[in-house]
Amino acid sequence: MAEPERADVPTAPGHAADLTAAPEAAKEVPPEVVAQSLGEYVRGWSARIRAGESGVLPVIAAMVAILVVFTIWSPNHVFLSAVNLVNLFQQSAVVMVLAMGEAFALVLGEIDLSVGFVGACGAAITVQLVQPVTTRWPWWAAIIAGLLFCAAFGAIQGTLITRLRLPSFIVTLGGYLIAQGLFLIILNFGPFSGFPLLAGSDSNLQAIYDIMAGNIDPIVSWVLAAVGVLALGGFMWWSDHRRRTSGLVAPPVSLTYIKIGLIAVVAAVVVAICDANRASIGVLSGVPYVIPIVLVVLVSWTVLLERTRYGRYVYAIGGNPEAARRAGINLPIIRTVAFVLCSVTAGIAMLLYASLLGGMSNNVQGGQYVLYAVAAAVIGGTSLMGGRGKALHGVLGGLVIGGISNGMNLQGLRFEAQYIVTGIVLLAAVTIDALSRRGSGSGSVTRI
Amino acid sequence: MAAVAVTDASHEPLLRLRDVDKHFGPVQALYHVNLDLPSGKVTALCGDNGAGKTVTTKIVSGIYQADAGEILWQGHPVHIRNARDASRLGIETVYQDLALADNLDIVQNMFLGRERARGVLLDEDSMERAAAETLASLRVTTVKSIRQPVASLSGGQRQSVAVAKAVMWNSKLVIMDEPTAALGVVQTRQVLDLIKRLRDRGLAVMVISHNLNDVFEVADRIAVMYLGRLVVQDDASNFDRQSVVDYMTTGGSSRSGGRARES
Amino acid sequence: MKLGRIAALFILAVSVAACGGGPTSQVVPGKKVALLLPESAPARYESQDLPLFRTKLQALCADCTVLYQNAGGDAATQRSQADAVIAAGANVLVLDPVDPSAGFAIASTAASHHVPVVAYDRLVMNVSSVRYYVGFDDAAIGTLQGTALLAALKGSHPAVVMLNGDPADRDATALKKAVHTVIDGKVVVAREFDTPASSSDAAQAEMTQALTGLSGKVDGVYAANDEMASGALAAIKAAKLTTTPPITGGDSELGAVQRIVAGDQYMTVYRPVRQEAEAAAQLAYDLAYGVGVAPAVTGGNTMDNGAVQVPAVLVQPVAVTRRTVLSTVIADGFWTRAQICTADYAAACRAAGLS
Repeated sequence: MAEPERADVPTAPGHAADLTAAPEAAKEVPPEVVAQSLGEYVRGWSARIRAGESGVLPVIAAMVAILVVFTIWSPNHVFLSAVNLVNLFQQSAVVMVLAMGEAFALVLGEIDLSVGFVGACGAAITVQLVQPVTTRWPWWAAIIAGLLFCAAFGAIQGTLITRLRLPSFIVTLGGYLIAQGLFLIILNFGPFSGFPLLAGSDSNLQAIYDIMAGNIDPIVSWVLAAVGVLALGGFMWWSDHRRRTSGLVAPPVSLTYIKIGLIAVVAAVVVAICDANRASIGVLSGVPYVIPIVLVVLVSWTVLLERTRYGRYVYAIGGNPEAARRAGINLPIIRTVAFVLCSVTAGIAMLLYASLLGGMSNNVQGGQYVLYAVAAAVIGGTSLMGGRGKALHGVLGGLVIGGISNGMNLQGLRFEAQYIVTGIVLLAAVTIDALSRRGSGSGSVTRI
Repeated sequence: MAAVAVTDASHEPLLRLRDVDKHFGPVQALYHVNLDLPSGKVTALCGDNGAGKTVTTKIVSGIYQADAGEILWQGHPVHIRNARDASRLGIETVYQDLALADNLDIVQNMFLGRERARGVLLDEDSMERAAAETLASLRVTTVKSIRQPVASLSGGQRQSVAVAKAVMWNSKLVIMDEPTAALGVVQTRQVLDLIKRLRDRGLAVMVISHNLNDVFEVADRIAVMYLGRLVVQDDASNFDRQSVVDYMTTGGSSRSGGRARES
Repeated sequence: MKLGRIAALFILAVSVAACGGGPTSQVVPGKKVALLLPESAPARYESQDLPLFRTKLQALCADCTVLYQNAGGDAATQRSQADAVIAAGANVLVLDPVDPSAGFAIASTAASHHVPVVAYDRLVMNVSSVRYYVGFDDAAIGTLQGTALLAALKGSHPAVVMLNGDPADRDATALKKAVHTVIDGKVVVAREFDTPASSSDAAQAEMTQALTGLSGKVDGVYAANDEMASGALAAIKAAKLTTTPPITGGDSELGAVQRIVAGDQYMTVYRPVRQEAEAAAQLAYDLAYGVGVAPAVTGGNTMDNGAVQVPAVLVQPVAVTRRTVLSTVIADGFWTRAQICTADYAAACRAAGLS
């Protein structure tokens, strides 16, 4: 393989330096695209980290730090108990899913400030519609209605942003206030004094309440996990195998097996934690429904962003809108759909909130949730400049934010301190990101 | 009898602009431009800033519409209403700013807007193979991996990717806007070699350039614009450096070296 | 690609967990009682409820721990705090919910972990796992205010102006009804207003209109809370009446207590936090150690929370007048002498025998 040019690349006058800046040629290439053996892969990977391309490493480091600190610190190391790890996931789920939705806006280089209250509107509609004393809709129809509201709201915002060329910051700021108003109006329907609850024995209420509180039977949990691992592992093996047999550069077969093995171990560990008895008296075990729900959102949005034309266009617009336009991509449609997906995902997130809180009330901190969602995505590695970000980042960042709050609550530390620590972690995340990119002398670059 | 010979497909240029006018409001940008772009030849379009080079290329690539005159493609009049029409005919444009998305890799950029898919999922393997073949056929071999992001490429490599992107679609005419403007010596060499290889494949190539060294190095034909008019086009051997400069700055040339046919 | 790294993390986590051991493996010396309070904005939660509760519990069992959490007004935070104290092994939850939904979700979660819940100050609605409710008997407040007002009035059929609370507030509507039951027929309700947002401004405007309409002939003023009492007083002062008629009030705000000391307001209502906090601590202790609760504690009172009849300890509110300031708010430490007797009220305090 020939050596890439390095020294003789002048910077074009009047061009942004990142078009032709010399150090980029020296940048490390993702090891998975060139490594042919496991040793090469490991070497490539460590070279890449040294070159400042840390990927999700900082957020993983943050998670390990949170785990170690709170485990040592918490009374009786309760942080790592099964009950608390399940709590941690349940508490983080809202921010994780919100951040996965926000990813669509952030990758485009836009922002959606309205997600908290738009999602809250959708969830409030769902919670209102399943009330047995008023509308008594079946739970699935109520969820669809709530998500449709979110989709419509996102479509209107997206249309204003793309067709009238208004800045997304302002449009969604307006959307945030409008959605907050609508949310309070929706809450006041029916004889619930503004507090429609998911309380009672009605099966539709129970279905929504059980998203968080309900558990899949322990045996069924194992079966589902096994099926999931087999499907994912089979797909990974098959696609690597096809690349290998068709003569394309493919990772070494040992690496494929290691990855599949790790996924199987993770799945087994998660199920084992959830299947442990979490109650100190009586029995409480099984995988909470919220875990597969978050996984489904993660897999769906990952496939959409990384394996379909639509996702490819989202990244292209985020990276270079002019290039996307010249490639014949319909920018307004792609952008508008991104805002719709963002709002619908927010609807799912706030449905999880309703389930966690057992109903909806005017206490929803819609503005704060937006900030947490953006912070989670950025902590996970998504760029605010556009072009770079994944659904996975939201999940990882959400776990970090949730982990901080969970650990500090275990200590009985005050909520004021939690705000401060979360803010510091966010600043640390963007600082690491900025420094590593400055070190590697390039703009926002990633393999997507 | 001569008229019959002109309509013969073998002599007809791939693309011919006939009496093309274009104005923006009161500003007349092009006056009766007649330009021939034959297959298997590199045509250099020269001219000072504001001479109308960019407007001409944008009319060919479908971004602007001509106000008057006609465009003949293989002898038949065509309307190029947008970039899609142009690429359907086989016209691809490599823009000066390259129009590559930094965050996407080489394969993703080359297939941007024309991805191959099986069902709803992208067929990455097939795209990767096709991209690798195209780059190999153009002898672009300096990139480490075609799965590396474009941001990690050097200027010459980026230009190569942009050209490869343009020729991958069985294009017949490739328009290149200042292809060497941002490049160093070694990389300019690579790009000029690449242009020659396109010609050797039988493509029509139109190169817009200020750099007369490059023009004389690579062009088979030279066309010069001056204040919205195409003042001369002929085989490169009929020009010398000074005559091209004269045409660019005054619209005419009296030098003996300039044996070129004025239009 | 990245999943591998996450997997490594989880393996690490689990191996550490295996070494650390769960909460159940530890020997717990005393029971843990969680006290979940909703917010920090009204000072009473952290200056009154928390220390009173803690002191009472320590008196009952010295090795018990109070796991105290304050939600800062955020329902989701309170939910997480409840999860945390349950994970930390709380034996009883004493819960003052931020809002009805948080209360419901927390009590339900506690039920699935078999942790008993005592609803504190606000009833937790729609869930059957609430074992006790400790709160004030708000139904008695109207009677208390009406009775106190009658006692302060002289002559037959005195003219009374009624400033009721926000008509949109169900509690205010109930209060209004209770007051009418006591005073109707014994006084002439010369003017009556429902006050939007129960605000001081609105009450002042209403009182001004009443004074004008009645040419200043007002023998007594019923104001539903201290905010409105201060508005009514401002209107009366502006009208320059020769004597200030008796004015009722509500919440034992510091300003109201000072006005009472100075003779500008006749009474306010004090909810004895000490009794409430101590009753809750006693019930928490009883539940944690499985001690039977005597029927006399609740006096057979129950509250309907929509799912069950919750046995309720209803602490009686008391009237605070100039004569009882010392034996109520000051005796309980709700307000200190120093807080009440600022420079402006030094003379009034001396006259009232407070200093």
